Amino acid sequence: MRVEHDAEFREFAGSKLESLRYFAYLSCGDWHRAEDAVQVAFVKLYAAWGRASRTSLEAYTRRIIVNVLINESRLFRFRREWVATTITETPAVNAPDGTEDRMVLLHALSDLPRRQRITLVLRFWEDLSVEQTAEIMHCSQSTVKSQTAKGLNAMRTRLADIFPPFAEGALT
Amino acid sequence: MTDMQKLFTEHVKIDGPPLANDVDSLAAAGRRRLRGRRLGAVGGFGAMAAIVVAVAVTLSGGAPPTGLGAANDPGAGYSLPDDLPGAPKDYDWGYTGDDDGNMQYSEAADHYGDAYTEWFATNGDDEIKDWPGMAVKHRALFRNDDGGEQVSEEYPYYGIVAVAALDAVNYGTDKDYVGLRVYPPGNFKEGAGDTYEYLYSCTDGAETDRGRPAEYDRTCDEVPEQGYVTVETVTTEDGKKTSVENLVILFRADGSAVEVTSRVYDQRDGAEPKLGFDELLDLAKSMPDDAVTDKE
Repeated sequence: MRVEHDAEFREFAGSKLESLRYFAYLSCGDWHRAEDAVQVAFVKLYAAWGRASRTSLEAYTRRIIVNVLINESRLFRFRREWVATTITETPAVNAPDGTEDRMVLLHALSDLPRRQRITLVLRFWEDLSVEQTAEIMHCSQSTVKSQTAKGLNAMRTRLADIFPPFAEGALT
Repeated sequence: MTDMQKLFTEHVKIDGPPLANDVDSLAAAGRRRLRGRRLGAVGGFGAMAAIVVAVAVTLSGGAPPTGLGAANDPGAGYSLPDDLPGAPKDYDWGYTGDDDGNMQYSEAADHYGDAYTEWFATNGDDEIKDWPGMAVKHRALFRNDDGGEQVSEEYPYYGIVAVAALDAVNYGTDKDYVGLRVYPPGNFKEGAGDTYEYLYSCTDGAETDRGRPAEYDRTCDEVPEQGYVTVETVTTEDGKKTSVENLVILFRADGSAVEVTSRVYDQRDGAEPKLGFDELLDLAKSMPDDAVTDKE
């Protein structure tokens, strides 16, 4: 890597490290795995800077993160943490700072199958289009749509009692 | 904003633990990765040679005849002929250069190596381990003349740093290999043919390679409107299937060509290459469009 590329990498990494770690966290539900995935992604990005810099750096990096997380789940399926399928034990809502709401939402999100969860995060947290999501997920647009629909249905079921506005199909 | 987006933006953001990585450590790790890759290209060469010797023992002979041992002059430049000459009958073609350490590294070749390994990292079942790197290599027109190999013409291309005729690395099991070659414009003729100026052959038949009879059953599917060709080559030896290779060549608009392969050496019937044609085509298309240059 040339010196100027090194400087470009540092600038990009400095500005995106935190947000991409958060994206990884939402996608996997574990801060440590998120940190690891982001580290792997940025190291690979450094080595592939010439190619990556000709496209979208952020999309390229997200793509590596997703790949790392999906592969990790393939390789270490037995280590996957399964949370309760119901939310009866989740904290009560209406805490002043909304912390419980967040935890309920994250619980519901982490309860989804990995691909559904990543799809929802890409579509609704990262605000990416179906096409962009399909590119990052290495799947067809119809797969993104079906994963989105399944994920939303599952979220609706889990959150209906906690976030009433999203019940009855209001969750779109 | 959809309800789901609203839900995310209003409720999802929480503070995490302090970042464990910083930009300096990531850049340092990236530099180590690059350095390791380049060192691997040099240090791994001996190991690759040993691997290929082992492969040659079981190899059915599907690789083209090689012209190893003929030195090339890296200082001579790579002037390409305007028109490739026809192949005289007493000439053969092969690959030269790498066994004698005459490969030339170039940043452009590294771009291909980066893109190639990255494709496997993001699309493959596994990463390519021990990537040996890419280099400018040569295919050559040569002949045996008075007991010595004489190189008549040389045509540069980018190949994986492995023994000449293979241009492939181990991927998955020890019987699976994937390969990459990138040919510059003016280096070949498009289409199939059995002489050196063509990049692939569609001819079935028995050939003798390294003194052993081998039969090649080739199935070509040429898709000129999309600029690519697929070739499946099933090799049998003494009636036993010994290897299957899937090959895709993408002829690009600038006149260059990308050749990617997936090959399995296995005595078992039914053994399939790791990558099918669709995956190989995707891999070929993911290669950078850097001009294939001579040297830096």
